[in-house]
Amino acid sequence: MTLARDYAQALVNAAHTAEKESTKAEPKKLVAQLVKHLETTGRMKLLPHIVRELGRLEAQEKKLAPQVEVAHQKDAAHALAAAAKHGIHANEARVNHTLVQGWRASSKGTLLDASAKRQLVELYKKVLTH
Amino acid sequence: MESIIKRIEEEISALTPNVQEEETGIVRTAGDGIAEIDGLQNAIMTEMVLFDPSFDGSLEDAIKDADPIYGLVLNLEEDGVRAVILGDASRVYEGMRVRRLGRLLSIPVGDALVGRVVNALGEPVDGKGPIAGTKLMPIEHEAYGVMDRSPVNVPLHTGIKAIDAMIPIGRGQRELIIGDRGVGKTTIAIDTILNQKSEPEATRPICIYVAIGQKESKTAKIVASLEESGAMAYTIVVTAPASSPAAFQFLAPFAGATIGEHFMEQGKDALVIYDDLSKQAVAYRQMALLLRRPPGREAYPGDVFYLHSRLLERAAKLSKEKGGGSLTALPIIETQEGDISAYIPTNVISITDGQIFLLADLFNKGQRPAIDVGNSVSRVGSSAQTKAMKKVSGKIKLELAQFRELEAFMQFSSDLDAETKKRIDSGQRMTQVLNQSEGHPLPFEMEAAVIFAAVNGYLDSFDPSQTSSAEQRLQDFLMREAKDVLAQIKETKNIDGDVEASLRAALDKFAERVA
Ligand SMILES: Nc1ncnc2c1ncn2[C@@H]1O[C@H](COP(=O)(O)OP(=O)(O)O)[C@@H](O)[C@H]1O
Ligand SMILES: [Mg+2]
Repeated sequence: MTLARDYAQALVNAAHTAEKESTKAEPKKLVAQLVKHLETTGRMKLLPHIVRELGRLEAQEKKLAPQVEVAHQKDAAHALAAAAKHGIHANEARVNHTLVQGWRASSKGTLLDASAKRQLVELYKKVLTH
Repeated sequence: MESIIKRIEEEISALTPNVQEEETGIVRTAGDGIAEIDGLQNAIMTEMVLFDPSFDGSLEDAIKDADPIYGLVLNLEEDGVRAVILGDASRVYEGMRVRRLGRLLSIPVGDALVGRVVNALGEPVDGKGPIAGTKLMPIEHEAYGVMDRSPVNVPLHTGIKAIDAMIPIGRGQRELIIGDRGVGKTTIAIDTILNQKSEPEATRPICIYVAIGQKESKTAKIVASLEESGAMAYTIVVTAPASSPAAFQFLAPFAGATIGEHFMEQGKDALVIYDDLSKQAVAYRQMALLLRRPPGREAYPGDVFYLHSRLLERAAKLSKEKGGGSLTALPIIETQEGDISAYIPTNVISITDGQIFLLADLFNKGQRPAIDVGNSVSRVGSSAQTKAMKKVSGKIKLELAQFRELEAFMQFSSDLDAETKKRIDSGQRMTQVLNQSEGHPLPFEMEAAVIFAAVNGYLDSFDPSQTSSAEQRLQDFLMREAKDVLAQIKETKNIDGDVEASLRAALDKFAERVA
C-alpha cells in the first residue's frame, strides 16, 4: 500500500509546514482537501488505508521524538542540559532504572548514550571475547 | 579466574562517563528474516547494523542475551532502510533499536581458520571453540586491477588425469565445474583438495571449500573424509546449509573469497571452491523477492550476473610486486538435464576462464569422471601446464577426438578394417586410462608417467577392456621399481633426455614382466 503511505506522508508533511508557518491550513482543512481529492480521482477506497498509515507514522514520530532518560531522578537537570548541548531538547526526563547510572537521549536518528548500562554491556562483551 | 577479575577491575576503573553520539534506527516491521528500519538516513549498502537487544531490557537481561544480532543493509529507501537479519530473527522485534556499526559487513580472516568449519560470518560451527588471532576484513571490496595481476603460470594440479592432461588449471584461474545433479561435480572438487597433499608444503595451496545450500549431513561427511585423510591441515570449510537463512547462503561465497584473499595477499596460494553457485543464485532470488526488488529473467533479480562476476573477479594471480600470491576459484553450477543455456549457467560460463562439463550420459555409461572432453575447455591453464604434461596431453587429446568420430561411425558399419579397429582399440584404451575412481587423485608425475605409457603403446598388449587393471599394475610397478624416475619427473617437471630414457627403460621392463 505504498500509495496510501505516500498520501499519509504528504498529509503529515503538509500539517508540519502549516504548523511552522502557522497558516490557516489546519488539519481539519487539510483532511477536507484530501477527501475531495480522493473523491474526484475515484480513490475513496484508499481512505481507511491512509488512516492506518497515519497511525503508523504517528507511532514512528513518537519514537523518533526527542526524549531524555535518566537512571535516577536526581540526574534529570544535568541530563536535560547535557542533551540540549548536543541539540536534543526535551521538556522532561523519564526515569529508566535499567540504565543503572547516567543518562541517554535520542531524537530522530541520533542517540546519545552516557549510561552505565551501555558501558557495562560493552565491557562484558570485551571480557568475554578476549 | 583471578586474572579475569583483575581485568574487569582495570576496565571498570578506566570507565569514563563519556557521551557517545551515534546514529540509530528503529525496527518498523520484521518478518521472513528481513527488517524494515526507520531512520538510518546515512546508512550505505552492505553496511552492517546491530539490532541491540540490550537497549530496552535490564542489564541482567542484556548480559544473559548478549549474542549480537547483526543485520546487513541491502535496500536504501526514502524513509529508512531494509536489512537482512543475520542471526536469530525471532529476537528482532518492532520498535527495537538498531545501531550503525560504521563498517561494511566484515568477517574474521587469518591462519587460525585453517582446519576449522565456519559459517558465512566466519563464526566457528565445529564445536572446537573460539578462533583467536584473526582480523576483520570487509566481505566485499574491489577486485585487483590488471596492473596488479600477472598471467597464470603455475599449475594447480587436481590429481585427476583427464583434467590435468586436457583441461589444465593454473593458479589464479577461474574454472567452472558444471553438470547435472549426481554426476560427480563435488567429487572433482574434493579430490582436488585431497591432491594438494602431494604438493610441497611450502607451495601447497590453502583450500577453502564453501558449501552452499547443501544438506548438513553431506557436508559433515565431506569434513570427516577431509579430516581422515589429513587434508583439514590445509583446509577451511565455510558452510551455509540448506536449513540456514537465504542471507547466509548468499554471503557464504563472499566469505570464502575473503578468507582466501587473505592468504593470497600474504604471497601464498589459495584455492576456493563454491559448491554451488546455482544455490547461491536461488538464495539471492529469495532475498530479492523479500526485499521487493523487481524480478527479471527466470525471476532472478537483474543484478544476479553482477553478483557472480564480482565474486569470481576476485580470483587472481598477483604480480611479483604484490607478492605473487594467487586465489584459484572452482565455482560449481548445477544444470537441469544438461541445459547449459539456462540463465545462470550462461552467465557463469561467460565469466569464467573455461569449464569442465560433466554429462549424465557418460556417468551412466560408467565413465568416471564423466567429463565431456569435447565441450570442456581451459582457456588459460595450458600456459601453466608442466612440460611433462604438455608432452603427453597433445597426443591423448588427438586420439580421443579421432575416437569420438570413429565411435559415431562405428554405429553404422559392421565390419571394420584393421587400421580402424586399431584406432578404436587405442581410443578405448585412452578413455579407460582416464577413468579414475573417487578419492584417488594422483601426483602429477604419476599422471604423466601413466599417460606417457598409454600414448606410447606400453599398454597395447592388454585387451582394451583390461586397461584399468593394467594401469593399476603399472602404477604399483612404478611405485615399487621406478621411484627415482618419478622423483626426476617431479623435479624437472619434464619427460625428456635422460629422464625419458629411464622412464622408457622402466616401462620396457614392465611390458616384459606382464607379457
Ligand atoms: N570418479 C568417481 N569414481 C567413483 N564414484 C564417483 C566418482 N565421481 C562421483 N562418484 C559418485 O557419484 C555420486 C555423485 O557424485 P557427486 O560428486 O556428489 O555429484 P554432484 O556433486 O555432481 O551432485 C557420489 O555417490 C560419488 O561417490
Ligand atoms: Mg555436489
